[in-house]
Parts: sequence; structure tokens; C-alpha cells
Amino acid sequence: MKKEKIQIPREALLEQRKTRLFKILINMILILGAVIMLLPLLWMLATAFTPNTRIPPLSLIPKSFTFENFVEAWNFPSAFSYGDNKVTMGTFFKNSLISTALITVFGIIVDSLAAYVLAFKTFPGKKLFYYLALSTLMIPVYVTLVPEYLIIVKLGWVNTYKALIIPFLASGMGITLFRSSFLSVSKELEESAKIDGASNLRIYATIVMPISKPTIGTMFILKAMWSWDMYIWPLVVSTDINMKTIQIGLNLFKGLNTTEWGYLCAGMTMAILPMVIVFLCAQKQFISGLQAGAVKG
Amino acid sequence: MVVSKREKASYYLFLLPAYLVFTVFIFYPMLRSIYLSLCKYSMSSIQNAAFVGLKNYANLFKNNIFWKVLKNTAIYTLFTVPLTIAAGLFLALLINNRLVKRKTAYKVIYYVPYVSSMVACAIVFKLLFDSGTNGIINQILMKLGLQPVGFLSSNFWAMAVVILLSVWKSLGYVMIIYLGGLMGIPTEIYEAVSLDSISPWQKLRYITLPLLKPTTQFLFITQIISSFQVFTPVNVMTSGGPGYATTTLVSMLYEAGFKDGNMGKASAIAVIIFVVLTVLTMIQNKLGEED
Amino acid sequence: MTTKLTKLLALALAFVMVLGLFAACAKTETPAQTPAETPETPAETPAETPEAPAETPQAPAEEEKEPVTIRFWQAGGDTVSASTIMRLLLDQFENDYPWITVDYQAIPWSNDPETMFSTGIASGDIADVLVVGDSKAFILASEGNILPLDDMLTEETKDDMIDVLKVDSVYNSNLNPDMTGKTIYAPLYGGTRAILYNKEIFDYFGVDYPTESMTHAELLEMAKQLTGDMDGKHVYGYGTRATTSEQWISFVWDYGGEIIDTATMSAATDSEAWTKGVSDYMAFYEAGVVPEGASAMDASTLLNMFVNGEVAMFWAAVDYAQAIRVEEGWEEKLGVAALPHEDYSTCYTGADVLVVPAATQHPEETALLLNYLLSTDAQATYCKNVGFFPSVKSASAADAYFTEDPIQQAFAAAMEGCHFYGNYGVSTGSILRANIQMFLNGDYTMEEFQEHLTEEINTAIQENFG
Repeated sequence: MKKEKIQIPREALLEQRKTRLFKILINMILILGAVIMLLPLLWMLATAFTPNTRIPPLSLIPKSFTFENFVEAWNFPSAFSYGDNKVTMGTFFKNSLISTALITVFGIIVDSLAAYVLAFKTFPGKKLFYYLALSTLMIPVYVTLVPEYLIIVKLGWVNTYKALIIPFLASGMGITLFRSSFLSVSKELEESAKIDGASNLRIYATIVMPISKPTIGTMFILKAMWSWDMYIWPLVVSTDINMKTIQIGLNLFKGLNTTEWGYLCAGMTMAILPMVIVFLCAQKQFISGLQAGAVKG
Repeated sequence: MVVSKREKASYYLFLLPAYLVFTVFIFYPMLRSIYLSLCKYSMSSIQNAAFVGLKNYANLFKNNIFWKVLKNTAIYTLFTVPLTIAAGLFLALLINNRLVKRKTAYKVIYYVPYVSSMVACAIVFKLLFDSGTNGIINQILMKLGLQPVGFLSSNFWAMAVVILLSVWKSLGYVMIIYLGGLMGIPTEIYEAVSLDSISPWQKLRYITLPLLKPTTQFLFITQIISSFQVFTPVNVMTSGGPGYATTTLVSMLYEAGFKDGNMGKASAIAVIIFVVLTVLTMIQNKLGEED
Repeated sequence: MTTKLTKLLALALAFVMVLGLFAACAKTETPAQTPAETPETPAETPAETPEAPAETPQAPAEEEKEPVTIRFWQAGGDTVSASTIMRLLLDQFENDYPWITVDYQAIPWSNDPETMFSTGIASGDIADVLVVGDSKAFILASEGNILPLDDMLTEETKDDMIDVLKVDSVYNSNLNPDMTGKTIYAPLYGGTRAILYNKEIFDYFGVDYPTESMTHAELLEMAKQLTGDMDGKHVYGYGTRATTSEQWISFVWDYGGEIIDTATMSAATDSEAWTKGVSDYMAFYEAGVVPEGASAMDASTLLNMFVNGEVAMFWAAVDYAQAIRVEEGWEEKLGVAALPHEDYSTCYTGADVLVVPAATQHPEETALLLNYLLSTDAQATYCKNVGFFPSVKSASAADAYFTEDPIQQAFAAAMEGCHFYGNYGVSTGSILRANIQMFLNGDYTMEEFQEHLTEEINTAIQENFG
């Protein structure tokens, strides 16, 4: 696609000008879009740095600048705990981080193990298992909430990390994504390894998974986000304030009649940051993983 | 290749962890919910639910509000899904263009709303579109010399604002998925074609879009599934109002089960959602296979 | 070698899966088995709470008492001071009864505590005492999930309760015959409504401060006089919102209207009183004295507009009055007036109440806590800080704050004409909200409004009880 300037200078010039105009146009659209997308979040940032009020400030530039909201928001939950047990936003962060990390790591293993046989092997019930995994995507969380909670109680898992983690170790989305990504791995590769005498587990761990790094990246981001965003489930299974998670913590700032705008915005800013960092770290893998996985539906 | 029975049995071991979790925490609760949708019970009296047959379903089908709510959910889905997908595709195509620099910055900016808490975003959007002089958008309108609009008290605007929030929030996700899809298209295809002088529009219409079809289909299915279960933005911003203008299936479910104590009705709504989504997904798959 | 292991594991897997499915099916068929096993769980949970007997030397008489921990979950306590004050009161209680430790947890309304309590009750893992809204108490009683309190509350406490609350605390429905006529809750505090107004705006428009209750038409007339531009800002005479019926149901009650006729258990919304009351409320919208978009407005929006001087009067609970008067300059500017009246003088009342789940392991200690929280001192201390009204007469009489403060006095006066929604076991909230909004927005005529409202409430009754 090299432009041969010497041979046809006028057309190239025209072409160049057209390209430049086009470039300005796309960038303008993207910048404008970015501003619109960011406006609510910019307001959030501005409010996070403006002294807290219950009447929302309406400016995008803080009139007076303060870090106070972050400190206050961090300590706000202590109003709901007593004695030596000082609950802060840190407690919620810790709970969210632990459950997010474990769900992400173990969830990826659990999903990919199931996807491995669903992609490479034939066995009775294979189709059924695949559709069962798909069907989990269509079940509204509010319906299974109570029966699911009763199981947690029977297992004695109320107010434990187990309740926050184990029900989310498998996901229909993860299984389908891994499956379609594995399908693009040549079946011959897998079969020839099999003939060489490698066990299935070994093929999975040493051949299939390493090739699927991009899909792992995708699932890493998706799973991290889902677990970070969990709201109704921890609300029900964590009755103890020490076991609550970040999204529940954010909701504390919204009172029955009034909202602590400064604290809410500071808290939101803090809660978004880890996810932005995760995205920045894994975005290359994430996007190329989608190319391998989602494309095949 | 001949596979021994033992070998075959070992496959189930790979499935065990995932399907054990599914069985205990999704399938069993779902089966129980299906059974409970045939019962009369409240959340706290679940242990002695009384079997009433199809009564919960019969009640729903003759309830006008249910049909209104089903229509609202369909309208919400009908607008949210295509809008999000179209806008996401448009952005992905722009960002994928070789003339665009700072790609990562754009990706992050458009993606940030997706990772923000839905509850908090809905609170902020509510403030933006609040009625009277309290809303930020109305303040801007008034500064421009225009009349303030009662966004959340108008049937049309309330739904529009809910849709806007949803599109705003998941736009970045769709864009990222499409970027993945675009990366999967080998550049040789474009290079081969660009020798012939076809317009960029033709390139999009006849090469890019057909190649992105699996991605589009994936997005349609997943977005329809999540749109049909919309709840948080409605609950925070409008409580389903004005009138029933923004009441959706899940907000009706929540109201019945968690506020009214009529869990039988709530379970019946859930089963209906499940059935509708299954049918829609099957139709989608059929359509995808046909071409 | 590996295949042997694999086979074994495969067998184990198949076994577990079949077992799992089997167990799942079995559970569905025999749900009655579940509750028997559950009571073990709660006993284990409070293991971390500090042991009480450290203080026993101070009360040697009680030395033999076994240390007991009771769990206390309060829905609400949103304001930071509310849960702090509650904890201080509980410390005092623990001091008085050294063998009892109270494991207290406030769950803000924004965290949907009532959902949490319901799931807790379903599983048997629930606190010994709960604070819930009074209508939730009714639902819990109908389901048989809470204990009657007649034997738990002392005669002294019962006599001291404010009359309206005492009447409302008695379960008067036939839904659960075991509870009919029994006391189902102990009120923690009462709340009612009054008109809050901005004296500055009254002065500017030259309108006299309201001194006694007006008719609906007089209130509208006053709102019209107070609507207009003031210092370049548009002022609305009357702030209201139709998102909760608490804002307008009084207009109907004032003509003797009710939501549900308890005798026939059917909607009573097609009555003349409804036509009159709702027309009176609509008149405020038609006259343009309410803010743009009032039909879908939030409580906080209205509060903001009032504090910003854009609304001259609005109808609010006493905690709002407390929140406003601490803002700069508002101690002088804030006025409180009685709600309007017609044939009757009514006003919406609600209470946050203490209930005892049937699953409690410690009814005796729980009873001690209930009576303590309804004691004169505890009530006076708590209510003075949270801004609501004490639920026992002695507390409001004992403290000058409740008898002399003009704002408290105004609310105390309103308490006399107060009216509960009536507990029917059907929550009509969303039905009322949807229909009044459609009427106010012009989607329904009055006939259509009453017709739809009646039909929808009857459907809800039929769905819940039919």
C-alpha cells in the first residue's frame, strides 16, 4: 500500500489530503464520544474532590479541593461496627479482592477443564452437557436466590468466603468461550499427543492451555469484573458486616432520604480503580482472546 | 480412534467440578424454583409451601399488568440491544482504523463505564436527569434558555433514560468484543481487495460485516439474555414509573417476591423469563445456521 | 496404571453426581425436614463475640446465670448517630444485665435489610430481635414467623405506649388466627408528617404563617400566593411528589376514604371519598404550584429544592425537620404547621418496630431487652438523637425537649390525628404509585384511575389470598 509519490504526485496529494481530513474526522468523533462517555464519570471525580454535601454539587471543576472525602468514605463503615472491631472500606476491599482473586483463578481452571472434554472428546451426553452450560446463562439470579441460600445455610457457609466463592467457580460463559477457543486448536495436535501416550490432563495442561492464553486473558477480565460487581448474593449470604463486599459498601452512602454525594463519589472512584488496572494489564490478551473465543459463538 | 470405556469414563472427571457447582448452586435451585412456581409461599415460609398447581401462571396471564410489563421488557430489549451493538461496532471500526493513535486510551475510556458499579452509575444518572431544577441536564437546558424537562415523570423519557444508561454502560464491552472479532480477520483479505477499487462502504458491507457475523451473533444472544433481566437501573432510577412505563419483568418479580411476599408468583415470572430466553436463543441459533 | 485410577475416579464421580441428583430430588419432595436441622447453625455463629462474664464481680447475685449472647439486627439506623446511640444504649443494657451480651448490627435501608431478614427466617439463621417497618411486622405475623409479645412486655411498658401505636401493634387480621388479638411488635419510635415551610418566602410574598390546620382549598390558595419569582429564582408554593402515597393518601383519608375494606377484603378505592380526595390533590398540579416533574420526584430532590429556597412548603417527617434545622440559618427560617383537613384531620403515621422471630433461642433475655428499649430513659435518649417521636408517653413527658421544642410540638399535635395505612397483607405501594402517576400525568381520567386502581388491588388480594 505504499504511495508512489513520484509517478502520480497530484493524486497522491489529493489522497493525502483526503486521508488527513478523514483522520481528523475520526479522531474528532472519538474524542467527542469519549467526552460524552466520561461526563458522568468526570462529574464523579470532581464531586469526589469537593467537600461532601447532601445536596449534589453541579460543577465539573471542584470549587475547593479536598482529599477529605476519601478519608471519610474509607472510615464511614465504622459507624456500623463497634468496639475493637473497626470496619472500614478496607474490610470490604479485602473481602472483594479475596473472593475475586479466587473465583478468577479457580473458575478459569474449572471452566477450561470442562470445556476441554466438550471440545475434543466424544462421549454420551456431550451435547446435553454443552446445552446445560448454556442454559445457566438464562436463569435470573433472583429466582434461585432463596433455594440457593438455603443450601448455603445447610452447608453452614453463611458469613464465610466459601459462600462468596464456590457457587461462582463454574460459569456457562466461561465453558462456552473456552470450548469455542479450544475448537480452533487443531484436533490432530491433540490426537497425536494422545497417541504419544500423554494423559488427557497432561495434554490439557501442557498443550491446550498454553495455546489458549488469550482466552484465559478474556476470562480473567470477565470473571474479575463479575465477581467485583456482585451485589445481591453477598447481601444475603454475608449478614456480618465484616464479610460484606465493596458494592454493598458503596450503597451505604445512599441513605433512605439523603445521599452523601462526596463520599459516594470517592468510594466509587476507589472501587473502579482496581478494575481499570486489571483491564490495563490484561487488555491485549483480553482482546485477542475474544478473537479466538467469541468469534465462533 | 477407538476409545476405551475407561477412557470415556475419565472424561466425566473433567466435567465433575463445573457440573457439581452447577448442580448444587444452579440446577437444583432452579428445579426447586420451578416446583415452587406451582406453590403458594413467601420467602420466609418456603419450608411449608402449599401446592396450587398452575394457579400462579393463570393469575399472571389474566393480569393486565403482566402483559404491559412483558411489552416494556420487550421494548427495552428491542432498543437497547441493537443500539448498543451498532454503537459498539461503529466505535470498534473507528478505533481499529490505522489512522487512529492512542488506541489504548480510547479503549480504556469507553470501557470504564462497564466496570463501574451499576447501582452507583444509576444513582449518578438519576441525578443527571432529575426533575425540576435539581437535575444537571435541566440546569444546562435552562442556561441555554430552554424549558426544563420532567425526564423521569414522562412515559417516553423515563424509558429513554433507562435505555440510555444501559447503552452507555455496556457500549465499551461490545466495542471490545468487536475489536477482538476485527483482529481475527486476516489483513490479507483486505489487501487482496483494496487493489480493486471498492468503496469503504462496500468493504464494510461485503467483507467486514459477514466476517464479523459470529461475533455479532454471540453479542445478540448474550445481550438479549442480560437485557431481558434488567432490574437495577429501573429499581434505582424510576421504581418502575411513571405509571408502569418502566416496570420490567424482573422488577415485577422483585416486587412480588421480595416486597409482597408472594414468591410463588415471583418464581412463575422467573420460569417465564427462562422459557422466553431459551426460545429466543434457539431461534437465534437456527437463524445463524441457515445462512 | 493411570487408567485404573481414572476408572476409580470416574466411578466416584458418577456416584457423586447420581447422589447429588438424588439428594436434590429428595429435598424437593420433603421440604418439611429442613427446619429441624437448622437451629444448630445460629448457635455457632456468634462465637466471636466477646464474653460477658468479665463484669460479673459487680453483680454477684447474678453469678450463677449462664452467659447469653442475643443477636439484634436493626433495619435502618442509616444516620450515623442512630446506630451509635443504639450501641451506647446496649452497652448500658449489658451493664444492667451483665450475663447478657448483645451482638448488634444495623443494616441500612439501602442494603435492603428486609430481604435479608426474610432469607434469614427461611433458613432459621436469624437474630433474636429485629427492627423492621410496622407493615413488615404484619407480614411476618401472618406467616407465623414472629412471637406474640403479650407475655414479654411488662404491663408497665404496655400502659406507657402511645395510644395509636398500641392499637396498631395488635394483630387484627384473620389471616393467621393464632395471632389474632395479640401484640406483635414493640414500637421503637413513631414518625408522622407535618408541613415544613420557609418563613423567608412567606415574608417575601406577604403571606401570614399558618397557625392552624387549613382545608385543602385554603392550603391550595396559600400555595398559589407563594408561587412566583423571588430574587430571580422561581419559587413553587407547594412541594410534593407522587412516588410514595404517604404524600397524598391523607387527602383521601380526610374524606373518610380507605384503601381496602377489611370487612369484605376488597378494594374500597372506587368511593366518593377517593374522587374528592384525589381531585383535591390534583388541583395542586393543575394550578402549577408544584415543581416540574413532581409526580416522579424523589424525597431527596424535594428536600434539596426546599433547602435551596425553591419550594415554600412541603410535607415531611420529623427527621427531615431535624436535618434542615441544623443547616446554616434554618433555625429561624424553618416553620412547622399542621396538615390540612376536611371531614377528618388525618395524617400518615409509620413506626419502626421491634419483633421477636419465632426461632429465637433466648426469649427471656430478649424480653428484658424489649422492655429496656421501651423504658423512659432509653426512649428519650434514642429519640432525641434520631429525631423521631418516642413510642412511650413517659419519655415525651419527661424531657423538656419533646414538650417545649416548637417543631416537636407540631409533630406531637399531628400524632393525634394520625392514621396507619392499615395492614392488609397486600402491599399496595406500587399499585398506588403507578395509578396516581398515570392520573396526574393525564394518562387516566378520574373514572379510569379509580377503575384501574380498584381492579388491580382486587387482583392483588385475590393473588395473595385466593
